[in-house]
Amino acid sequence: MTAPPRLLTVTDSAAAPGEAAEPVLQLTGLTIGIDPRGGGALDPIVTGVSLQVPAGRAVGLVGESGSGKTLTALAVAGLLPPAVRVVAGGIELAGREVTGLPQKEARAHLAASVGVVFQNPTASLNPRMRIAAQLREALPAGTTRRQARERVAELLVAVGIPDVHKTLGAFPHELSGGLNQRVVIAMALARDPKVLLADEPTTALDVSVQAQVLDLLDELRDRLGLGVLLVSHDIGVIADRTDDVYVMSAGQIVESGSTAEVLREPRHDYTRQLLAAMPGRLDAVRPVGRAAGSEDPADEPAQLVLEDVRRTFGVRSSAGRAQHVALDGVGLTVRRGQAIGLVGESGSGKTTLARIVVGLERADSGVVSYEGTPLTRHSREQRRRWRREVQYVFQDPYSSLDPRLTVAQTLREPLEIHHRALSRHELAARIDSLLDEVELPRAFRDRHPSELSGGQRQRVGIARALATEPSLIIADEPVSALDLSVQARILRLLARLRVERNLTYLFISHDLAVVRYLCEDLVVLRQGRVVEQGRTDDVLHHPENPYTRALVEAVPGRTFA
Amino acid sequence: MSVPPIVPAPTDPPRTTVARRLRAPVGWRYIGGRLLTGLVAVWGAVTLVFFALYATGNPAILLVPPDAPPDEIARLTHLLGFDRPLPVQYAHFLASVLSGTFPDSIRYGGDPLPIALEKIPASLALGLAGLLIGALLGGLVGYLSATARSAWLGRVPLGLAVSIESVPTFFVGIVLVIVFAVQLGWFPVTSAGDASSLVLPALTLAFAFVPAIARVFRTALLDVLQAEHIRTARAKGLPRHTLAWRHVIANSLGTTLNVVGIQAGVLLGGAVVTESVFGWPGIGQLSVNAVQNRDYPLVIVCVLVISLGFVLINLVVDVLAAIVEPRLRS
Repeated sequence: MTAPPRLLTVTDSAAAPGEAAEPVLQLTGLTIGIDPRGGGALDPIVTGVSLQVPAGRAVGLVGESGSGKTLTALAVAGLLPPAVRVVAGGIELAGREVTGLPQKEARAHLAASVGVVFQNPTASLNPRMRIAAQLREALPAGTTRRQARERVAELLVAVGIPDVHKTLGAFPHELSGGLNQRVVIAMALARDPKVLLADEPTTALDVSVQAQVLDLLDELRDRLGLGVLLVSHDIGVIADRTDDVYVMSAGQIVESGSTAEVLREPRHDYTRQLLAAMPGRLDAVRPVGRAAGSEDPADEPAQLVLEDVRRTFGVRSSAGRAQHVALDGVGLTVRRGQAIGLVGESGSGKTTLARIVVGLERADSGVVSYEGTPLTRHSREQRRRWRREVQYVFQDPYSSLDPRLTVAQTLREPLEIHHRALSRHELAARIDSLLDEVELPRAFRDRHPSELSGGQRQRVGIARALATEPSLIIADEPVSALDLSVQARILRLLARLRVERNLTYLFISHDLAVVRYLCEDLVVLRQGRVVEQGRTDDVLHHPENPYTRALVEAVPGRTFA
Repeated sequence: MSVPPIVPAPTDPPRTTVARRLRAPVGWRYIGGRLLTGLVAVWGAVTLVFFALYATGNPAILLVPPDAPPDEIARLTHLLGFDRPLPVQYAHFLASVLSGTFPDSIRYGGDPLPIALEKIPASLALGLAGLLIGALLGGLVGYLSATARSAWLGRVPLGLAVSIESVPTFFVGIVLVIVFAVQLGWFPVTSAGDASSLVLPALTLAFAFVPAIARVFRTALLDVLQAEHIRTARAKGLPRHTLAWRHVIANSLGTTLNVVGIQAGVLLGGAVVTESVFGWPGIGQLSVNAVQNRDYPLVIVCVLVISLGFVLINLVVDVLAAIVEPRLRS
């Protein structure tokens, strides 16, 4: 790795290893309240948070959604939403107490001493400004035009952007997520901050890009002596990248200490639960003695077969029309009772494949056969059967349920279509038993999706798929939008249902640990092609394809999990 | 690790650090495509008018004295071609539209095209003034309602705008005339075609679409204020006005401009009424008179000119939207 030319001013506060460094960020008893109705009464959402970020060290803040970790970070950056305020406690930044400062002064001090990196890189950039202009804005006031030009290019070099010239003239939508995140980091560094706040900086990125961005943050921290506060829900990332960790739950710090110790010997129950929920640590539930009887799935009849399936999309760009090849000759056989994990990064074609299998999308060429007959040659009866037996569970439990329908109405729809003879009474009984099966209280019948949590919604999504008595479930990233503990519960549910209902799974995920938990077989897709397939354990332990190897190595927290 | 190195050496030292990529904001293809769609719309409009006129009866009857004998009517009908089969008449009509040669105006005699074209500057002045006032006023009301801290500033102007919307254009016009022209005497009652007589009709027109602009702009602003890139911009510690103009307002213009384009139709429709109320010598007034006189060649020409104007306004709006919204360009 070549060190780039003259870079940013290197601060001398970077501590030598072992030496206790001055904290560049210190929170003491920080309490944040929300004023939901604007009446002045504050409900506390973060209470008594104290933490320290020394110069040159990375400190993790880990917790699930709603734990208050993001609000804590936003409070430090002075970016709390309008109805939310710091109620008590202190924020000392670069040796200066910020709370109580006049607004203007506080803003100036914050701008000069904190850099912030957010979760969605592309959304964090102004869509109608070129990168150069957005970076220039971030420079300290009083920078001359000429200085600004040099500095902006320097910053992009510092964050490892290969084609600086081209990037400066581009709009955010013309760059990839990884590049945009580098731009956001460059922006955060523009005023030589002492502290870098990174709020889930890699959650929206692919694993391999994630590793690169985290490496960059590590490197910048070392070189510039930054204190980094890394906010994340991902214990793997925290384990790999932080020196100290604070575990947050329900607005409070429940445990803290050196990352290695806390993760090795968690003292608080919540930390223990969190660790136990990591998909790599779940005990797999395998269908022992399958209903069909045979142990080797190769003996089972092929339920779904894809042969040389191709699909191309037309894409318009500033360079004119282009062809995006989503699937480039994919062949795949799914046998009864199998659970196949379909793994690949964004753009690898895994979702397109799933959509073709259920008929939401058509293949340009190639054959998709269900139960031995190509979909295109299905009789009416076969078509009905395929529709009923193949069901889809979607990624986003928020948008895949109709917000106007109650849970019972959502479940009634597929029942009515596929089992027309059912009486009202029988329908109600079926709905109740579906709710039982996905472990939702029967009283949830009359709730709307807005009254359910993410995990509960996904359970409704699963129940809806089960309503038609399917035998093949296509699940497209069904747990990626969920918190770790909820994810673990949904995964257990899916594993149990597989055994009880003798289901076949085609399970799409970017998360190798999740796939490993649920699926014995694994297919790796890259740029629309199958690059590797086999038994999950074989592929993960002895990957043959270089891409698979890179993917396996890029998974955060490998040493730890 | 097989991940690529973190800091690759820059390919070549950039000479000018800020790459200024000069390129047309909108391609000719884009403009051509929009224009083609527009022409289809114009064709639709004139065809509709043709059939509407056909359905309202034989225009030849109007050209003869009321007591004219039937054979006189039949002779004229034949002479003007109104007795030919409908498809033939339509083909003739399309040919005349394409070649720009229309039958003589029944009322004024002579080619109707120059008569209509002559009115364009006056209509354009009124339309643009109305559009400008309306957009500014609507923008202001929308901005206040989205961002004002005080409930008074946030709600009252928007409420007023919406209550004006529910009153018909001609009524607003008449009230403005009574208050500012008759009672206060600030502006002339009827138009002399000069600047001071432009104010009241322009205001009347503007009021017709202030509420729509205000509401759309308000929604766009509220959306943008929630956007993550606004948080990034705030993190930079930018001065408030830079944040407001460059980041919030600029990003809200795209959707608002589209509504301005749609509202341009309302504006043209409103112009017909407004011009009549104020006696403004524009194409709106001309169309109303032409319809009253059943001067069908002139009606057709007016519709043609107005719909072409509508298409052009929308084209301009689309180009502007593409300029403020880089994502539309690709």
